[in-house]
Amino acid sequence: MSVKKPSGGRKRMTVMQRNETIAGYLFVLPLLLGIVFLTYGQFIYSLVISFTDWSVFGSQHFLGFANYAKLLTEDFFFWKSIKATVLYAFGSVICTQLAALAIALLLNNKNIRGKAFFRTIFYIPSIVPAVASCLLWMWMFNPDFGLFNAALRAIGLPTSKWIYAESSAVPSLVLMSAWACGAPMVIYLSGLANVSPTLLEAVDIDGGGAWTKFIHITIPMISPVLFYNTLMGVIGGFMTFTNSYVMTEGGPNNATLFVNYLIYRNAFQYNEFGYASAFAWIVFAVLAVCTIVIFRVFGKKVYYG
Amino acid sequence: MKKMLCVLMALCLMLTMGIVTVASAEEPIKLTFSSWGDAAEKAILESALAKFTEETGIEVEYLYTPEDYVTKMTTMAAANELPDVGYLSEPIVVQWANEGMLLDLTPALESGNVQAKMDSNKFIDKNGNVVGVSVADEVVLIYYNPDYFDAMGVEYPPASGEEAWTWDEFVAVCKQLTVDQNGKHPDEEGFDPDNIRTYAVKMDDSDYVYESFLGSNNTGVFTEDKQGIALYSDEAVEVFQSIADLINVHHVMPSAEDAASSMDMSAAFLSNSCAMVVTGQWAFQSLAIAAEEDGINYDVGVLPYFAKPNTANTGTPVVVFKDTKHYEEALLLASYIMNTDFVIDFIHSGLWMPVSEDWYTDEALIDEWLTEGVHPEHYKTAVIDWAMGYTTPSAYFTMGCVQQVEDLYLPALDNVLLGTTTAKDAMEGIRGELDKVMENYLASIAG
Repeated sequence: MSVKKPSGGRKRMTVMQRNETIAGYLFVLPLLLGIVFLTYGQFIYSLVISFTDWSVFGSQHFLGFANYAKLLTEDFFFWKSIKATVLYAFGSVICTQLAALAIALLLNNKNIRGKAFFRTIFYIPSIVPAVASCLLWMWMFNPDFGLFNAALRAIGLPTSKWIYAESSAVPSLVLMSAWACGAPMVIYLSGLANVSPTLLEAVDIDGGGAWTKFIHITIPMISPVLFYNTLMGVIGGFMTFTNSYVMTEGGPNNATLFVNYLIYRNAFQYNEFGYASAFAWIVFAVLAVCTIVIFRVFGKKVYYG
Repeated sequence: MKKMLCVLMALCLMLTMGIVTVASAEEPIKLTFSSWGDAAEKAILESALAKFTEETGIEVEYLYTPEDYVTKMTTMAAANELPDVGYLSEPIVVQWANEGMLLDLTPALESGNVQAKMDSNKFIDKNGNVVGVSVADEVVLIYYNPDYFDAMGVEYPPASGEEAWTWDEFVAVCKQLTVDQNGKHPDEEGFDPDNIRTYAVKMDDSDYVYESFLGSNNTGVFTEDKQGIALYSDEAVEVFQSIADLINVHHVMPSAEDAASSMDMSAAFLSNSCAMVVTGQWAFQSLAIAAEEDGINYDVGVLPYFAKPNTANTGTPVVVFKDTKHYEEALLLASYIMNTDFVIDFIHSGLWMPVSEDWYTDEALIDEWLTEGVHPEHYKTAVIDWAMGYTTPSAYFTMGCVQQVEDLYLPALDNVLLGTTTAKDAMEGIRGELDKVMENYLASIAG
């Protein structure tokens, strides 16, 4: 039996279908309103005020690109913070991904017992509240009585000032970020579960070893996961805030003055919201460029099966 | 029929609005007060507010924000929802006042409701108005462990401004007090600076310590006329270098990163890891607790000086925000909060000092202030008289760009304290930026 189509080319909805559609829209309406007014609204508003001198206190004056120009050419802290953030972001991506992949590979081994237990243990740091983990690590980094220096002393190695010295502050925070590698680890584990055993067996038959399997089978097969984790890691690294806010206050000597902390300082300590918004949009642009570069360079190498 | 219904509904609506308007016209005045603070401070403020309501009939809603207070206030300012009265963080008070966010407190100070306040605790805006008065005063002192001094046979730090050590005398005493693991002093041959058992002194790496010594060398963060930055002056550089030399040349003070991370004062005194600590008056509270629990011994002396004895001071102010619709009542509330009688518990605990002048001169009030087990033997001369006679107010009592200046010079000092650069080079390195901040500030208050 053929159904006659209405002249407009669209299928006429029954009353029930229409009601269901309306109900559907009503159900998603709170979420949509939330996204529009609580996320994208502010997003666009921050772009608008980035062109003004809004300082909370008074009226706004349109400045054009003056905030952007000042940031890029005059701001004493801008390039320091970009450098610190780039160092941290790439350091933390490399360390975190290596740690996550290494643990995932170990846990993927069929001979390991108590996988669920280890998976939980390694995942726990990811769910510890950020401030709590910062306080814990501050104690571990303490040069006088912290865990790390105590361990180094016990085995006769030289100690470090960790987050309290300019040269070791960012590496220390990178180390701390690698501790919370549980979230990418879980994603790697799911990726590893999808690596076809037949391909691995094929390498065995051809006489290849574990390294050959890893490089030629595992890595290409988990490349979408690798790509996703790296991208999210870079974005997460750029967005870091709590560690510099809680642990170092941007110091020593501005070594950990990450962009988000500097944006916060401009907005909430100097009350320069227009300027801080311009800063945020520059960071957005930098991240967008990074993302495009990562997509261009690595995107084509990803094997989607 | 539909029309009738609409008219009826409109009438109902108008009637309800009318009732609401009438009701709101008769509503009693309600103020909002905001503060941070720990549980004890919250409890004291709550009882002060309750007493205020009882005596005046004015209700007060208390907004308690223990964390991220400035962020909260800034957000409320952006939404035009600031409270009527509240605390405000010291470095931003004058900045906010210069932007017209705070109202003049002079009428409250002249009303007779408030005890005369020390000038050193008044925040003054660009127009000369008093826009904030500290709820408590705090000055900078030397705390010391008398037992250690006795054991080393060294005289206690002077307890009055007239007898204060010169900087050189201070350094000489520090060398007598510092010993390495082999019991050698810094001037002795074979002294091992990497294995020091007891350091002579530890100082807070903070603005109030630097400003105390800058003032002592006849300089400050800003020039005397408040038109320029003085941090790169020869006098200021001498102060910064002298403090850094305590760490890197004389080896009598732990490095900044060690000090930042190391144990608190009572633990340092207990373990003899440090003989003296330079910090604010507030530390008496925790010392008194440690004395009771762990039996530590402590006393207090005045700071050493470069050209003249001096201390900076600090103290959170109470302010009236510009959006208040009840200025008179808000001033009255501010007067209540400023009243020393309300905060007497904090004064007895050692955390705060009064801000009212008569508490420093009236013997009966001083007796009321001094608390056995908290305020040690030399407290009267080394703290009360010291605060009254030798205080130069910190820069943020009168300047609105302190935060920006501190964000430049405090990080720059990190490497001076580490010994990787000299104070002169560090200050010259940020001189241009400091001048730029000052220039922008002067332009902003002129406009």
